[in-house]
Amino acid sequence: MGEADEELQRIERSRAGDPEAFGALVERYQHMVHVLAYRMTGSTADAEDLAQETFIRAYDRLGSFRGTGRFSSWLGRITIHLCINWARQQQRLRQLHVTWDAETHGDATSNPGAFDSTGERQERVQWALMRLPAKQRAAVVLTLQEGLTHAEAARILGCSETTVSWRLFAARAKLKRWLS
Amino acid sequence: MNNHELDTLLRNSRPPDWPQAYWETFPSQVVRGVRESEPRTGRVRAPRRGASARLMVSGLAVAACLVLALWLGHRSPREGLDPQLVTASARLLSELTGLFPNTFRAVISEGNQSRILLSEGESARGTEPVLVRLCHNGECLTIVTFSGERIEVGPLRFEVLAGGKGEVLLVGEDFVWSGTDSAQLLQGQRVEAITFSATL
Repeated sequence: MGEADEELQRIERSRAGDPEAFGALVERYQHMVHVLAYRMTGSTADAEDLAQETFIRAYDRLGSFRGTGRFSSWLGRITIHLCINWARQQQRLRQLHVTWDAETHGDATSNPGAFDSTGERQERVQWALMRLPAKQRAAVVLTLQEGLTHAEAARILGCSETTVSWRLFAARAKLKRWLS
Repeated sequence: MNNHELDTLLRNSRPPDWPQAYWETFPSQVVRGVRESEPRTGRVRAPRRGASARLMVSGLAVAACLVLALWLGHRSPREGLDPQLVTASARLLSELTGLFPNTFRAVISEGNQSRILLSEGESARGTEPVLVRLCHNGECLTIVTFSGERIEVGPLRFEVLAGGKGEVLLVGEDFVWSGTDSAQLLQGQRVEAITFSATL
């Protein structure tokens, strides 16, 4: 039995309510999901949470996986969407922080300088990625870092290839400025 | 920097890897979560791993609430709940329930520390929101939570219960505190508590 057939069989068994079969799928894709989540959040703890949430949601929605595309793409889409929602939540928290700061201290200053700009290159890259809007970050992570084609990234992000290209163009311009 | 140099830099940036033991246990944790939650809810829900890390939102959430703590936690003790404190707490409650729908349990602010407590899975929360303030030796702690929540602050453990007329009960293993908006003693602490609806 080929790997693809085996995977389809596991998906079918998972749909039928076999969590052990789903465990095998988790084992196969856990690294991919963790890496995506880390690149999108810049935090191992948040990546772990989001990875778990991704698999739980995937199990919950296995019925919507039609099998026409790759399971990894379908899983990647769930991961990215959860990460984009996470980024929105973080943005709201930042706004809340600023509001409280202004109300309680009469001073709306925020301190974005927590990153050590003299740190290692990887830290710099992650720091720059985190400064991008979440959708631009997702385009960079999927194509430039994970090596997906624009078409694959577009399917995961639920947008056109042109949109992916545009997001990459905008992201590249910023990253060059921040990382040079 | 040109596109090629940028792409190389991005490709060479590897995320930190997790220890092998993590990869070995992660699938079984997901499976366990699926098993535990499926029969109860009919939907898949998993408890989040690592109690402290999962019940507390770190990073920005704590940072956001640190500011609250500096203000709520350092308010000087005085008779009666400050209307400004009640208003600010109600606003914070609104923000946090929006950010963490169905999982927000409480925010506890003390001095320069603040904790947001979240439930392990989604839980329908339709109970009365409550503001509790504990002061001892000039230091105060503020809790914004819901009726029915169990709160643990140091050695103090109690359940917060709201009555129909805005009165609040704190029920511990060996004590019951009851009051509306009046200061009373609970294990040496001065307590003030009120339901938000009572302030409207």
